[in-house]
Amino acid sequence: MASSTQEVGGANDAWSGASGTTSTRLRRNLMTFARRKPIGAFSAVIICAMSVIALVAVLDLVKAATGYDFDQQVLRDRLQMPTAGHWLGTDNLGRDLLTRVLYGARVSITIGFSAVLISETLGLTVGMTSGFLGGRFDTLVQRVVDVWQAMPGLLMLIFLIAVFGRSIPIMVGVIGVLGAARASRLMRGATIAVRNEQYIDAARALGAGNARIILRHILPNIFHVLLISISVSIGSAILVESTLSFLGLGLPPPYPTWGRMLNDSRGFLSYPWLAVVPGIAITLTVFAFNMLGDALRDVLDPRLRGSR
Amino acid sequence: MQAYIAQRILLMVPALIGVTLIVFIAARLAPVDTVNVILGDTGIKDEAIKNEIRSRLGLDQSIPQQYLSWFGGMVQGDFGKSWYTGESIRTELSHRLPVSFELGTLSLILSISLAIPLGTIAALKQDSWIDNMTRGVAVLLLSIPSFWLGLIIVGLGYYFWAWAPPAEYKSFAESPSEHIRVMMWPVLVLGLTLAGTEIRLVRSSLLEVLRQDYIRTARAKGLREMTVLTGHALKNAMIPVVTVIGLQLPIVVAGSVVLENIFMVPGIGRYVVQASTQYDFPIMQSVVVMVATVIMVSNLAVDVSYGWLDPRIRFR
Repeated sequence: MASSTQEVGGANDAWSGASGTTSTRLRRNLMTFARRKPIGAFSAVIICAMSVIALVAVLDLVKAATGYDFDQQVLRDRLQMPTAGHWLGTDNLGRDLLTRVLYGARVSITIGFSAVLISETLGLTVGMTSGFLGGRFDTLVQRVVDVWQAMPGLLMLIFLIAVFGRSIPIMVGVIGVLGAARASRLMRGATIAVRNEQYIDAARALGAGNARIILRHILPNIFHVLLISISVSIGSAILVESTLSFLGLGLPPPYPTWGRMLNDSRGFLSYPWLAVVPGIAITLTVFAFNMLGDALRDVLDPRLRGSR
Repeated sequence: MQAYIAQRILLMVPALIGVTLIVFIAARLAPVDTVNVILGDTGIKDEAIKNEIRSRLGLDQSIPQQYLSWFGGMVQGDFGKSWYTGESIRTELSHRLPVSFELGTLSLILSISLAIPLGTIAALKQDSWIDNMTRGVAVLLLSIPSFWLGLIIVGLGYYFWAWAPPAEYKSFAESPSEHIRVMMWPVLVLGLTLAGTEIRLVRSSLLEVLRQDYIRTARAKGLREMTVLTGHALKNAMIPVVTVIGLQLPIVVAGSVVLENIFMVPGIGRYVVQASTQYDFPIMQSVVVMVATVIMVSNLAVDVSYGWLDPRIRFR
């Protein structure tokens, strides 16, 4: 990753100024990023924090931090406003909201990251091959992508979940495969933009085959597009997962998800913080991924500044 | 141009057949026995009754036969019957589709009428406070889940004014004012959600166009700034915007599914969610295929409209 950052950095004065060993260069790049893109850096911090929370939840260590289990009911303490004992209050069954929100990160982050692993791998493969080979092959692939992109994603998800049951692999698979269409368009565009560069001709003149050109010359030069795409896609995957949960079609209980917490809150409109807490968690996470994508785009690809 | 449209339409046929195959095969892979779902907790265990239900639903035929009769029906506009209620899906859709269509169209109109002025102002005042604020609001809008925005509206109304959105839907013909009271909130929420992406796009697209030579030429020959903007810049900046509006259709569908469920709007979104809890596969199959068709046709219309917006674009 460090080497590709270096190559991409050549396009930008603030980044190419860095020199020295890889680690000091990386540190200097990060400092420059934080100075020039404070919101982007803040978003990166939120994302790291969310990932740590998700990891802690996966390891079942949340109880050690908050003192409650996610399904520990204390009916006597139900529907409390935030107190010293319950920092974010309690829900209608007296469960600690902070614990539940932290556990919710586990599902959202896991699904977001895994779905995007699928969508970006698939999108990168399809987009790069299609853009690089061009011609009739490209035309054919792009018509298929047209159809792929026209799929009503949420309806397909609702349908397939009804068929195969509510499970993480199904959700990850469907969100990932449907999201790959958009990613493949981005990758194709980026590939076409670098395909006719002189260094590609040079590599070919030196006898490099298609596979080598794609992997060693195209991939590093469109790596920044991939990075931006990953960030934005994780945000939208998390949004889709929480939408499903909100409709009551997400992961079944007992594991708390942000969407289901919001859905549960609908029965208790007099207690608005029940809806505020998980809503802020979703919005903040999605916002962070979007803003990081924006900041990365501004820094790594100045030509695309502010576009989407 | 005609060849391009013909090619696209020809490709739509295998694509749609593919969609019907995917949903049909998926539905038959479901590990639930439909008859048990229909009988629910009636406690009936009699195999004769079960077999009769099977034959009435056509489930005693072979899988290819079932597919062909469903597909044949779809082509003729017969979407089959609900497994659960036995009602014709076509009748139900004919009530629900216009409602969802209205919700989607009005939201798109609202979002565009917000996005074009806001995006234009942001682009014209690039890097000013007004630009930064507009961009911040835009990212916020595309990060807030539409269902949360909907819940906030319902929650605030309830908390401060003991107000709740109308629980009963009235068609425009029945009562125009009631109809507007039901529809305005989901339209507002969906419109705002969609506007997020569009504001950013109008802004960046216009920024790009404003740097072009023909804009400098237009200014140099003394045209007023307003004429340059509306006559030369905006029209060209709209091309990518039109594409994205086409690509947003799946998001419009997703948004209306969610908002119909919050605001009690009897559109196809509520129909599907209801059907999914009852394993009513014919409904889900038909709606997925129909919505996919609508989106594909709209995307084609969008692509064709390029030629009109920008005569330089040649289709191959």
